[in-house]
Amino acid sequence: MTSSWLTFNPVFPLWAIALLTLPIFAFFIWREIKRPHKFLLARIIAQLLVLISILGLLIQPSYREQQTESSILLLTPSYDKLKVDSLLKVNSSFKIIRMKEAKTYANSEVLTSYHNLAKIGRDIKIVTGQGLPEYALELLKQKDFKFIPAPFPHGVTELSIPKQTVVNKRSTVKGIFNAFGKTKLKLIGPAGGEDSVTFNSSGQFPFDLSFKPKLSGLFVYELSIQDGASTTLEKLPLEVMPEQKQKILILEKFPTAEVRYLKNYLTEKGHSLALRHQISKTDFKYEFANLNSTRIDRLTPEVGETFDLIFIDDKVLAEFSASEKNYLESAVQNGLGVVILSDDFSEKDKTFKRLLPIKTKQLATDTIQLRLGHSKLYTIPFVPVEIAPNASIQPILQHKGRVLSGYLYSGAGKVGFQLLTETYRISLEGNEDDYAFIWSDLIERTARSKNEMFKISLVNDFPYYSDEPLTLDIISSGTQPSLYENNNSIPLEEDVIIDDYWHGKSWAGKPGWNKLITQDSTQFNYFVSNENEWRSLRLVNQIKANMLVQSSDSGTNDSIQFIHQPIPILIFFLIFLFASGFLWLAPKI
Amino acid sequence: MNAEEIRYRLSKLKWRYLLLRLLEISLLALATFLLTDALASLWVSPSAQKTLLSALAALTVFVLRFFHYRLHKLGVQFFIRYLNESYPQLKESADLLISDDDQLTTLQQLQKEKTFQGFNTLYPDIKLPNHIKQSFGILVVCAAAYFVLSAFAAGDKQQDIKSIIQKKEIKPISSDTTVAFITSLTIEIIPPAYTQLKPFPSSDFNLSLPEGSRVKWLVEFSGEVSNPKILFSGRDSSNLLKKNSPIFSNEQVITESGFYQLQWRAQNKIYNSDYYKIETTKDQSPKITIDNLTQFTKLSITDNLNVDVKSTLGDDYGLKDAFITATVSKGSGEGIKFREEKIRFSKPEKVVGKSVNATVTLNLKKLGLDPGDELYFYVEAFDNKMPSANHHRTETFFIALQDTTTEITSADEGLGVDLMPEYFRSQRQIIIDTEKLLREKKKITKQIFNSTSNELGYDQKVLRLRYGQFMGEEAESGIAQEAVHYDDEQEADPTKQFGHQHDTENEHNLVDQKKGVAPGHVHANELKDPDEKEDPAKAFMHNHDDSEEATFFIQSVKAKLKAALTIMWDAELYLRLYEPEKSLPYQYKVLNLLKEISNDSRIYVHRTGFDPPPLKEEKRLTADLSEVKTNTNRYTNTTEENYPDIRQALLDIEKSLQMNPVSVSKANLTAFSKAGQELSVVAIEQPAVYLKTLSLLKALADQQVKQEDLRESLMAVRKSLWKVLPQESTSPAQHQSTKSELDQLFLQSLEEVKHD
Repeated sequence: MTSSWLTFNPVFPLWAIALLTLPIFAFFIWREIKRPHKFLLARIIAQLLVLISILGLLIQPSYREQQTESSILLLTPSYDKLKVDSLLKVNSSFKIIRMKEAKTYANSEVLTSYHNLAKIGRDIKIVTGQGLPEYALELLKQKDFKFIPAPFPHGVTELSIPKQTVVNKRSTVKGIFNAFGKTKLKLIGPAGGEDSVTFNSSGQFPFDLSFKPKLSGLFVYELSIQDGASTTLEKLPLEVMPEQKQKILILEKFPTAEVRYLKNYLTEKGHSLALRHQISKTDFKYEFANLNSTRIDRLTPEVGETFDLIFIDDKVLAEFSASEKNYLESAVQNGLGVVILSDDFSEKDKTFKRLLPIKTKQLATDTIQLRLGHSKLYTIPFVPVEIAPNASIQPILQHKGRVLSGYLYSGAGKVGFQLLTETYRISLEGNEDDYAFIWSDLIERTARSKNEMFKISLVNDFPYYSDEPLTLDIISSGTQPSLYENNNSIPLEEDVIIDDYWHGKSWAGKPGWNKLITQDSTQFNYFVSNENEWRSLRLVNQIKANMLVQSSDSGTNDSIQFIHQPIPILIFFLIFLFASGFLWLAPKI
Repeated sequence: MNAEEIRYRLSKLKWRYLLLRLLEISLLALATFLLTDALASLWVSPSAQKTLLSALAALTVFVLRFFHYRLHKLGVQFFIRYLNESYPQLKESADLLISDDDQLTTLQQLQKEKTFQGFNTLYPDIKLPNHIKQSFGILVVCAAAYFVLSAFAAGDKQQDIKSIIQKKEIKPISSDTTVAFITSLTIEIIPPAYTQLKPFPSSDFNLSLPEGSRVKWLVEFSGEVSNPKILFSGRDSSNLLKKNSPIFSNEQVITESGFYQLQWRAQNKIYNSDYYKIETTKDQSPKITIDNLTQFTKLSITDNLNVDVKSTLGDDYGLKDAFITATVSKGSGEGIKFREEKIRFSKPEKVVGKSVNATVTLNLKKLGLDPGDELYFYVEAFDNKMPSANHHRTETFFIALQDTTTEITSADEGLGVDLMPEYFRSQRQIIIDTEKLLREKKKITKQIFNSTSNELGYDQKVLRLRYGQFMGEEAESGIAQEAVHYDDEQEADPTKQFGHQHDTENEHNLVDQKKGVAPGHVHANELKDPDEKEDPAKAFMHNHDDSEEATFFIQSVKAKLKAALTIMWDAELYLRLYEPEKSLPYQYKVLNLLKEISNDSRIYVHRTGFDPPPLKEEKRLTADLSEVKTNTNRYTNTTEENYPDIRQALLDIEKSLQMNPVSVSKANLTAFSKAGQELSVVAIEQPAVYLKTLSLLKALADQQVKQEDLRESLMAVRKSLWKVLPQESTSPAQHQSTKSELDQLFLQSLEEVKHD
């Protein structure tokens, strides 16, 4: 409820108060007139004062006040003096507060502690420079300031460290570098340089540095930044995961070299493998590698559950009984991965179409020349079809916009396809890496993913520093998670809207690798950097965070602002005390 | 006139003179120093004595010259005298300049005035006597002499080695000073006698020696030790024999690369030295070349039948023997006979030495070669390596004596597999037909002549294609397609006659293939490798193997067949150009080559083809599958993860590096010593690369690395160990995900949407 200069914040609805108080007021005044005592006028006034003070307590009035001096301009490090000058020209009433680290400015006060922000928070209208750290931003209750950022500092301004680095698999560290002059970035692993890139001029440059870890574990690589004579080393934490072995079933109509080499490759890598192919109308040949023999003569629900991935020949699929087809489809719905090997995508039975709902166009050529990663040029035969663009296809290997291998989601599982045939030639040429490049991604991404109870992630961006807050998200699979760091439990709250989605907050431990553990000993490792590391990245993160929270309206044009200042209820209480004291005293005089 | 001014100028002159003379003398002294030092290094070895001697000589020269110039007693009089002597314009009156005016007569004063003016004008140009240029020259000469002589002296430095070695002390890396350590280690290497190398001491404990050398270690310990031994490559050990305590010795013959380590026991504790590498250089096989002959020499009976064979033979240590092994093949077909003979070089008679130019003259007649026979020979040489000599031989050289009397039209009797069918007669036939055509040229019309010539050209082409098959040239289609293109060639492109035209039928194929590509379709060949520029056709071929190599023929036959094919091109060309007379010489050449090839083919008589086992007729096509049964194979991948301990050590190092290490923990100690065991196996193969790491790892495992060096040592070990791990190809890993109720609901609704 507002009026021009007075506003009320009634505790109860205003009409109820009026209904209740007016008769009481009338009654009390009438009683006072009736009393045979002196000072009638004074008593009536006192009585009125009592009533007004009670009303004041109930409806809590506040008055409007023009705000003039309380606009604060906060200077943070690297602010632009010229910008501040021109801001002051527009509005000279700004009070200037600067952070300790910022350069001095005429008539500026120093902000001694971030905790003072809570007090002056809502008066801050403009923040300029590198902004406030994220944890300081949290102290601001009202964030309606305008942020005028400083230019990005020189150094790494964006960095993405691969979340899942698997041993023996090439991974890439990507980022953006803000270079001033010729700069060389070098990724240094345990055995020395892994990859490097040189920028010859100033500006923002994207970079990616690749490496192939030989060992799983927690490692700290180094990123050396060499510009001119100076070299800085930044610690780059990498968690290298061991290879998780898979259970794979291969069903084919007749033996082929392609499957034979695929089998050898997977067996050599230690995966469990079962293989079935037909050698005559009634006879089959079974092979089990790194696996005890099980029954795979028929596709049963057990088979669907045992294996993570089934390679299946389109001819075998066509010969499946109705029940087998049903089992296969329901297994895929429940998470099984299937890769269909086919040399013909036209005129297929319904199951094939349901599993792999793709449209194809026949092509004239049956070979393709492509480079795998950084490999040489290979000429590889492929199934001469072009897959019609379809948003649901997740491509894995592409060549000139044409999908050569990929997969589609089907329930919780995935169905993959591979158009390249005779890839074993690459293996025969001794290029194991390139052969693995073709198959490992397809298998890895199509196969059933391992179920884990909790998935922990950090909301904050790398880098993390000691004693700074970390915001955690946990996705659980039904159970309530409990999270521990150094045997201390971290309180978690479930998301108000989303089930099984938990939030928590912790403070980063000491520099180096730290770990969070859940009750089922799921471990989450994070790396805490030293105070002097990754400065540029940290500042850029900070600038970005400030830009995100700034208010959309500019703080400069409203030169006059009004606020409603509540009348302190203590005043009403004192009036009440004084007036009722007089009423008590009056008969005795 | 100012007496002060004169004195000032004179004293300035004095200082200038002093400076010039001192510079001159210093240059001379330096020259003396260098010369003495260089000369002394020829006789006197310790450098301290040498320097002292040189410094003395330099000082002597300096002092002598100093006193010679009387620089210690330099006065004004010297300059007055010099001025009077050198500058006549002062009229011998320079001494007036320093005399007081009071003591001078008026005339003298007048003269003084004049002299003073003269002196003033003269002063800037006064040249003081010096020999700086000469001294500098002497210095340059001496410096040159110094460098020349010291280069010579370097050769004699080996004599110092013993003294240097004896100064090196090998201590077990330990703070305990009471422990016995090695005070001196002398190593003498005695190369095997045949190398004719002199025994030499090794200046370095890391040994580099010829294979089979005997190495003598002489070890002196500082105190009482027991059971000292040398460990070789972490496997074998050999006890050191007591000479007279505390000196021990050992002798070993080293035949392979590796590393060694000294181990001794003192005060009931075992101490190890660092690791030192042993690198052996292998004795090389002799190198032989035949300089004056090509691999195939063809002679006719009228040629000089004495063939000189000049051969250059060489070996790193020395040759012991060399000779020619010659085989004479006589006859043809199944009647072929071989005779082998060993022929010694005639000059020098005995091939001995490091590098020998040997010659011999082969008298083909004496060897019994008749027309049609061939001589195969190669040079074989042995070096002086003991106990078993290295030997090496050249490729086989051929000398063929042509048969001019008979013409062998068929030589395929000897072949197990009928590799050379009827084609041999064809070339002959073409020649006969061509000759016939030329004879009939006048009788027939030009059109018939041209047409017949072209037909012959076609025959020639078919023949070439058939031979091409032997070479693995896949062009059968060319024969069939000929009929189609035949007419086109009749109305030939006039430019063809002028251009350098090869057969185009293969190119035609290529073009065809390109045209066959559907316009909308993007063929993969567009993505061209820049490296493959030199062979644009490669992208179009299914290149299984090098077709050139995929034949039954060895290099020599192939070369001949290739030559024959090339000449056939020319023969065909002229036939096609209606000039059979020009084609004839080429045809004869082809015929000759083909005959040779057929002769060569008998070398392969014994290389018969695959003989398949006889088929059981009663079993054929019966569709009996009774023996084909369902079977199951089970196997497990037994290859374990390689280098488990190195991997563990790497993880431990990584962990301790992240925690700013101060010491090595106990668990890490065992990990390091285990990793050391694994590394030693690798180090045997590549001691140069991994030996240092092995030492470091050992020092770490024995806790003998200082705290301040620990971080660096760990980094060095980590780097090296990481290199040991092999690069492996990617393996598909399993992804991880959570399965929450929300996912299920999402999937369900997704399915519903799909079905709708």
